[in-house]
Amino acid sequence: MNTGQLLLIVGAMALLSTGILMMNNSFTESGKVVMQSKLGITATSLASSIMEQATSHAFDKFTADSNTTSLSDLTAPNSLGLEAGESYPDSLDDVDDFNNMVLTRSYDKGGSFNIHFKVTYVLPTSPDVVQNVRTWHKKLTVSVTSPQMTDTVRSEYIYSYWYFR
Amino acid sequence: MGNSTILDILGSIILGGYLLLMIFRLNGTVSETVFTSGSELTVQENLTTLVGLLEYDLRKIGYCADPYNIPDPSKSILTASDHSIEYLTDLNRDGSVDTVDYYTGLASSLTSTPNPRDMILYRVVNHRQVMGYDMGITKFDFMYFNAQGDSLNFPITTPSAIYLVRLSVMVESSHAYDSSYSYAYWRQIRLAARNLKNR
Repeated sequence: MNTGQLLLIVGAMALLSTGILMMNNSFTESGKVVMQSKLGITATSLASSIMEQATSHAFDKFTADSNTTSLSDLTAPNSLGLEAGESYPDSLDDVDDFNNMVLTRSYDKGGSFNIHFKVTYVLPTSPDVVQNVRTWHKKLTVSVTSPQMTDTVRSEYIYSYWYFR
Repeated sequence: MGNSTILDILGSIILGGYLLLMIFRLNGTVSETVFTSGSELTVQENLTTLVGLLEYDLRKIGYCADPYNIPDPSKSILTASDHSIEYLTDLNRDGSVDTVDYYTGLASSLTSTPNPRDMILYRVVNHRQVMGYDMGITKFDFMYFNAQGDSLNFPITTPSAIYLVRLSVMVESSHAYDSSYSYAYWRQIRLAARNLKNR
């Protein structure tokens, strides 16, 4: 075997190795996409479930037991969150108790998720702008992250107060 | 034929065999990837379609365009078990009360697919229109909670005590690759009779 033939063999092997590596990389990426979308589905189900649970509570601490027509009865914007003596999940009574709460959930079918809550006052005309005054509308933002996920699943819900007179 | 030529031939045979093995292995990997990717896609599409239907239906438990026809939405769940639910709603928003019943068939009755666990999901409207969904459902489990958040034991004798409904759905592929089925999982918690809860 002369040097020319040896070089040809080395070149062929290099080409083949590159091709196999590229293909392997493609399979890995494809597997990652499948896994990400699977985790995304679970995270979405988690976000909507938690959202549903959160909105099963009263609009405000004050309205849990009575009605109001005055904004001043509602919780101040800088006091949104757990009141003294409250803890998740048993003693929550209103939706803003979830403000700044962080929960962790794990599924036996894979994936551990961190759920972050944010509750703010908003106006229907500008739901993306946080209001520093009390309004009849609270926006609940649920963000689900996971060490295995590259993206955050974020879900928003505007909870308004109303009652029948 | 000299020693050098024999060595060349032997070396070529070894290298060629090695390359052949690599190609066979690669072929197997390609087949597996194509199969599992396709199965995963189908499973996830089936799950999202199914969940879309369930979300639409379950969120309307106790709803009626004419509220006087369901005066007490807390009594809109008629029967509830671990794999079925029957409730009152107004599907067409026409003010007339409809009965919707979800239940699963037996896994053993679905013999057309190799997966031994999948079953048909039935949706029955007003005890007449029966729709069967063969989407690879292998888990369709309900859990029910009262207003205090405590889970209710089966059999549920007082459906009006149900405050929260938790539904876990798992969808698997109908065919396996190397005895392994693709799956996707959904767990949803829903309020029963949402209209009662706003305050």
